[in-house]
Amino acid sequence: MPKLRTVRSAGAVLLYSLMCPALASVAHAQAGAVAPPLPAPPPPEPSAPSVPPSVDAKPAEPAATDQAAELAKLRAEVEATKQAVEELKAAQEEAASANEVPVAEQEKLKIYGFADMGFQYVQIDKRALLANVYDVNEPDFVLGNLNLYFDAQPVENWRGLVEVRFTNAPQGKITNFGGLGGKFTRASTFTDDSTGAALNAPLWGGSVVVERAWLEYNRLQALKFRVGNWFTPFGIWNEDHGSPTLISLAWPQFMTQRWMPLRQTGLMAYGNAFAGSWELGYAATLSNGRQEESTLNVDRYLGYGGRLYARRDTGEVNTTFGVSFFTGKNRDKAVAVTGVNPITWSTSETFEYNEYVMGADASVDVGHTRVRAEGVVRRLEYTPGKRELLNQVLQPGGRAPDKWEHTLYLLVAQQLPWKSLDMFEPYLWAEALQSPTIVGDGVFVSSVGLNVHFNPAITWKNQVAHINFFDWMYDSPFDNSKENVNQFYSRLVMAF
Amino acid sequence: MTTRRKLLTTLLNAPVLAWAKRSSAAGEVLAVIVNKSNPIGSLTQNELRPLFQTTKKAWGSGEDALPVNLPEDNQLRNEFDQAVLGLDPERVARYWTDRKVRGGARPPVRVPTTNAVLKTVASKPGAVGYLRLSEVNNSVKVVAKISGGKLSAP
Repeated sequence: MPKLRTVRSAGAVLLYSLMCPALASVAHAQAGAVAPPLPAPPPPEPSAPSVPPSVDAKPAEPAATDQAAELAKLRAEVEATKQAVEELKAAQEEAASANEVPVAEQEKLKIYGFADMGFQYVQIDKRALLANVYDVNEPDFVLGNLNLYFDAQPVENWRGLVEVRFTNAPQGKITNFGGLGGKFTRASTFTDDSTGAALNAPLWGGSVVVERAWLEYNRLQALKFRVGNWFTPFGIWNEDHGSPTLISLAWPQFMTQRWMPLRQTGLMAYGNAFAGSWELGYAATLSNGRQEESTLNVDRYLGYGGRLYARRDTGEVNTTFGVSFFTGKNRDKAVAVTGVNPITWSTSETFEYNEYVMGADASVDVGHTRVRAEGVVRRLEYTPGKRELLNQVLQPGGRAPDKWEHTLYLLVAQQLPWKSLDMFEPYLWAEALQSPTIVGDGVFVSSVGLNVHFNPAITWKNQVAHINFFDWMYDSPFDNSKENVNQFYSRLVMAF
Repeated sequence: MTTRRKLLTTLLNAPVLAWAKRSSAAGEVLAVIVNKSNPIGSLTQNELRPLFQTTKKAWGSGEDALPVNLPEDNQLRNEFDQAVLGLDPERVARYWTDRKVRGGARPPVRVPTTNAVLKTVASKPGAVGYLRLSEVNNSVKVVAKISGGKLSAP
């Protein structure tokens, strides 16, 4: 590296000397041995005496000869300089080549990630159910995501990816309500730092969430295998996943309500092929299923899913159309001791249902305009006698119904076309969702946002959203107009 | 130094400086090169793009493709990205950020110089890279050219 720097500085000195030949000798001395020799600068001209021009002065011929000679000399100087620049470039490339890492040896492990942190304010009518279930109506500075990726490619055709998220959850989460609900409690991760230098130094623990962890064999483009814990290949949101890539900060309701499992443990086969300028791809998954009750499969049923997409990316226009589906049977298993000596057990299912989820999505980027649209339909059917209990405080005796759910959203973002303002990307979002819930079966989300792209790594994202609950197909027992939510999110996002 | 001499020096140096700048920057014809053993004769933009987006990982012959890129701040890289991917440097950077966040395949390997591109492509059967046309020698095969931001047959 020092050698490179010397070569670069020599180049700079050399070019500078071209602009100012009088300095060339000094510059040459500074460049030292690395710089090729420069032609000697022309001798300084004697300062001409200030004599007024005379009519008798002899013109022309010797002066013209001098000029021609001087021109020839300068031309030679230029040629020599050209050669010197070429030699410098060659020396620079040679120096860089000396530091090259053989291609096969490059980057067996890469670590990268993203982070977003900032502020949020969620406003809900204080009489509303949701206002008391969640901590809202106060201004909050938040630690959002701090995600690290460990991307290993130890040998050709094999890859492993682990993404972990560091979070201060579950500190402070309401774990039980007071009054009729019992004793009000929050999760506490407080402990003493027994390894700290100060006695009883306080420490609040957090969590490390395994977002995904998989190993992959990718020898064949049309058939790659992935095993482990992966994001369900469904629609746009779960694929884009992180705040640097997603346009908006808020998630669609069908994602927060987990209409399909966000991640699964199992096997995925995927691949792609090209037909002209179109890329055609697929993913097929076989997994434990939802796994929200346990990390292990508590029944013999597996989850099946898949995705098909067609993509055309010309740089200026990038279009993706996809369809996704997931189906699985989900149930819990309860174990009870029914006798002692000898000890006996009984197992039962507290709930059991089949679910079928299908979605279609479209992403279109044209220049600086980005459009995302997605529609999802879900059918959920309980096994007779195995319906889930609803919240018994809010709906005593209530059990979950079979249901159809539908949703559709449209998101349009436009980076401003003017050069000095092209860092600003406002967007609009509208989302409609029909799903029977305790606060109504209709939800409409209207939202505006502004992303400020400081550079490809740093974005400041802001979003205001209004969530409106209403009775669409069924009557809710609650006055759902009180449940409407106003949200403001602001996050500084960094990809690294 | 007289005014005349200054003027002459400036006039003569101008093309040198322009040439020095151009020799490492815009305006020069780029050559897209593959290993000599690669049976392919020419590559279109639609064929090159997925190779350098690493969404396509093999040649038609089944040989693994090894796209070789220059660093992001290299002017030749920027010209290549604009002509082949249709993206300016900022959007290229964002493209790869998005790809990383999604957990997608890694970007092409990166080497520091065109000399390294030449050596890598000459020595690896599936390699494909780019450099100035004037730097091409007979150790590799030219399968496309880029001039004025447009990709054309060799």
